[in-house]
Amino acid sequence: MRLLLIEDEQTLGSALRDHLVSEGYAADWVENLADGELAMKSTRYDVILLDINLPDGNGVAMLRALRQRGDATPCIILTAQDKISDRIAGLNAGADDYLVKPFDLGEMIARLAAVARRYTGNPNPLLQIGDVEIDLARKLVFVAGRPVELTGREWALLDQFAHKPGATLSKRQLEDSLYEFGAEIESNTVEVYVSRLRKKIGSDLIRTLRGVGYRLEG
Amino acid sequence: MFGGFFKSLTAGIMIRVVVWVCLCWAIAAALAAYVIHDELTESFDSGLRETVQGNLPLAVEFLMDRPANSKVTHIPARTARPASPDDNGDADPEEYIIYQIRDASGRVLLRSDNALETPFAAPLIAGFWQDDTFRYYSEPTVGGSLYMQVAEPLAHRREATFESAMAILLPLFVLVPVLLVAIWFSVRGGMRPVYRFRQDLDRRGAGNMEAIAIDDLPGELAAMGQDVNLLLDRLRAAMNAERAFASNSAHELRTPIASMLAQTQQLLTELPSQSPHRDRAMLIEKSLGRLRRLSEKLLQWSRAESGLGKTHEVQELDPIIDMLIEDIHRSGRFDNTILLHRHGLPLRAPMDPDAFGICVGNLLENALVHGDRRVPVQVRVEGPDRLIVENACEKLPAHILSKLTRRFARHGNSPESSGLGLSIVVVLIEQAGGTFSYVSPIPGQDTGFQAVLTLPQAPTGAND
Repeated sequence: MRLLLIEDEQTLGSALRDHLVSEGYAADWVENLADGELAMKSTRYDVILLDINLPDGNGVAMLRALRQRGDATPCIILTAQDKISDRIAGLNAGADDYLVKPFDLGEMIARLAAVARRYTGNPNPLLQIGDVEIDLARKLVFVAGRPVELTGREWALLDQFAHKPGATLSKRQLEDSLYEFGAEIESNTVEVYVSRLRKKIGSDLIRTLRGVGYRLEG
Repeated sequence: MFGGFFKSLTAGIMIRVVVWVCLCWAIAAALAAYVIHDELTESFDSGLRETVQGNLPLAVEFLMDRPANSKVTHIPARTARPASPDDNGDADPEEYIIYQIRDASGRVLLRSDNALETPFAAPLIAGFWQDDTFRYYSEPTVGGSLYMQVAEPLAHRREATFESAMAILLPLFVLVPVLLVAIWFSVRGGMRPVYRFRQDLDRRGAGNMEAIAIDDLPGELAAMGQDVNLLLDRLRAAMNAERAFASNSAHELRTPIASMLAQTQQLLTELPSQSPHRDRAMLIEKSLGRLRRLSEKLLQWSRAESGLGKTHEVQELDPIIDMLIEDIHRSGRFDNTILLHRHGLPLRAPMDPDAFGICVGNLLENALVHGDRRVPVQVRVEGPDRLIVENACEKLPAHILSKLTRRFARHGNSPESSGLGLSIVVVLIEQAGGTFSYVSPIPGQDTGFQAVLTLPQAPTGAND
């Protein structure tokens, strides 16, 4: 899953970005609204994590403009403003959730997953496909009841599939979910991780559609 | 009981006015008595002179007409009792004046019925003379062979002067109580603007720094009211600055705390499970968690102190409860859940939404932190003005219950507890005009804790 983090506080931003990456998300971190707008023009994000008070403007105003343009990318507001009125203003502007600083990183990840599930139309964090059980909330995979160990990248890929079971995802989409800006991507990276996943959870679960992409059989 | 009264302005004015009136009245009475005494002396002297001038020819004629061997030495009086120089004036008013007709040698030839036979002490010299007891007037006949002397007791004159002075003084004893009552009513009436002013001032406090209405104050108080309003202005500015500082400080603390907490939690993610630094990092994370909760409560406290609870607009408050409960469930901070029950009308009241949110948030947090985690917290909304939060727990003893709303009073050792939550609820709900009560055990049960928030009533006909 690819995320855009817009946060001007460097110490906080770097910790959030690192934690998101360690949780298997592809996170792009920018420190102002202008860079955020630029990033959104070039990349399709699954979720935006948005601070409100930014050096070049107000995050809520940007979110409102985004929604007016018809962009429905899920957005979670991260802010130090905790008033009910601020929260209502944020939600009315089109935010999907509102996280008041300071917060636990675990809480942020849980809310992120909840928002992502809501958008994929699959609010149930448990996905059962044959004898494979995927727990999106706890990031656990079981094959025939036995737990399977996945690396961060492997989980990121499976998470992307699991949010849209039965849908075809292009190689580009999958690359976006694996890497943030500036990361070096080998041409066969997606194939490598798909191959690893197949070895761990079963070769029939992910189907290759030549020239189009991949699909998780639902 | 009357200590306060005697320290009051009314009593001060009453006492001063009465003392001055009495003093002035007494001086006036003394002056009047002095003048009356002079006038009476003059009048009585004139009476004596007229008595002599009227009676002397008659007395001379009587002496000349009586037989040579006549023993009659006095003219019979209407009363038998004789007056004497020792008479203190108690005699019949008609007999105040006594007289003697004496020859040039001083022998008494004729006397009034109430006069003694012994000659008066007054010398045979024309005019007035006085000793300690009598006032005398002597006048000779044309040849100077006979003298008529009349005497009047001084006691009579003193009595007349005394009675005249008392006639002026006595009304004062009636006047003083009347004066006291009249002054009391007048001062009370006159002081009414002062009482209103005092009541206005009494209503001012940390949560109310509004200017006092001075339009209807009398001139003397209007100037004072202006000064008080200026002082309130300065105080309000100083308190706002202080509150803004406290609020901003707490607000500005959030981001650095968030940064430290995020960095520490990320460090914990990156540290190998066997790392010797892991325990230390966890301690830092725990301390930061406590700092986060404390800064949160201080921010709420500074808002409560700034009078956040007051508003005149009626607000729909149900969505705020939903939002807060959903937020708590999403946060995953607590193991137990919250069950919401709604009865009756929607919750609506003239209370600031943020103040209400802070109140409900603290009540829910209190129930979740101190309640049995295996039993859901029950939230009952009994519209339009009652919210009840109940949690399962042992019955709380009275000495703990009585301290729960004190600042920094903590029950139990939960690190989630700041000791400020319920005291913030009390401040905010009272500002809004509502009430907060709590009880343990829950009515009808043997255990549990129940908190009841009764919101201020929406004015009749208010829509928003």
